Amino acid sequence: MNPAPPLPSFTMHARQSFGRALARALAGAILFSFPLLMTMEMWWMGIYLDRARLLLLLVLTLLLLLPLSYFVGFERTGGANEDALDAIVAFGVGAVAAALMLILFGIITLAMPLNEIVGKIAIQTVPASIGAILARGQLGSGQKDLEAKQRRAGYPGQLFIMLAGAIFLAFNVAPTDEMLLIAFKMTYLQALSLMLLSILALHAFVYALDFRGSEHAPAGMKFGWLLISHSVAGYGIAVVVSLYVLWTFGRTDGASLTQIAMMTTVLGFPAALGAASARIII
Amino acid sequence: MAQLDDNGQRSARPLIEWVVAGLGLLITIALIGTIAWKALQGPLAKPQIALKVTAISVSGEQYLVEFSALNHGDQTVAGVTVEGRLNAEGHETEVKETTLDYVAGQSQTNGGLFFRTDPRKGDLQVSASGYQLP
Repeated sequence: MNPAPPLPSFTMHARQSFGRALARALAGAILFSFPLLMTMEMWWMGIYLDRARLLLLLVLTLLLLLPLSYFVGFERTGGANEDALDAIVAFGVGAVAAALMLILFGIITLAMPLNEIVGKIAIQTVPASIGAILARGQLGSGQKDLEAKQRRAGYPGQLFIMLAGAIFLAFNVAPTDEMLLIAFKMTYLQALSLMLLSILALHAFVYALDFRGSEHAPAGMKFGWLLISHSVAGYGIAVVVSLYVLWTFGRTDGASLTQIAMMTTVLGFPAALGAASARIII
Repeated sequence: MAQLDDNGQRSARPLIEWVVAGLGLLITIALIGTIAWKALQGPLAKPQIALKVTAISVSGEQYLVEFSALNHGDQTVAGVTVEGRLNAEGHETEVKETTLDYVAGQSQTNGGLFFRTDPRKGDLQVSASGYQLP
């Protein structure tokens, strides 16, 4: 007999289901990150991105995965320790999935300098590890448990889910040149209209449409307050996320305040959609 | 304003909702303000690109001239061709060219040109020769 009390994960059944969860995480990582794995700007970013900013991005991704793991984690989580472990495993699975796919595509080869290989994998680990975590919500069961957790989390929990959704969708389009080009092509009036549309879309998505997981307006909450406390707050999150992602990708370097505002508005649209639809995706 | 909580009791809106809602509103107004203020300035100023040599250094067997291109206009330009003409020993010795993908309005983009002769020993002129609209 083993002197230590046997942990549940050491039983045969648990090991099998952990293996299944790992496979599901890998599938989720590939499913959610393949558009970016097939985007050449992402490969270039892996080469030239400022290393300090890349490191900060990876640290923040890990910090994002922790609460995400609580909400949707790919293993049935028992507590804070298990959530943390799941977040780290998801990060690892994301890195492995990114490395495998990039090797398969011929984007990384052994002839390349280590810095380039690591950079290319590191940047792709961000969407891939989020995909690994989301795998449970999309591919797994336990939906009821998830909704109960989200309800219990209340307003801060809702804000966090909006943040995660905003990061995921913004990150998916931010590396492309089109983000810059749209900002350059839009007039100021078009930009202001896009902002209005982003806020309205946020409001419509989450509170007016009867999607799965959508939040019904709590009784007695005035329309105006709901718009400010949830939709405008959500747009604020989308704007901050957009600014951060633009800065990480070096888009704000040398740019004027107006240009930064224009780019933020453009990226703020997918970020707002991400914030709005997060409760459906997660 | 108070609202009914799950137990049917009247409870004040939590402070965090006020704080986050206020921050969200502030960020949104700042973003709208930045663009609206610019929109009210009238017609866009035409592109005006000021080139400045920021550094000259030895790069392998060549010389690297780093420059910054600052667009004083509001209009963003694409495919900006930058030409460096080097006059040394009494005649034009080298002409080098590069293209900047974008120089956004009121913004700066950096680039570099390589020369075989030392630009510090001659007269170097760096200028923009053309652009496209994005």
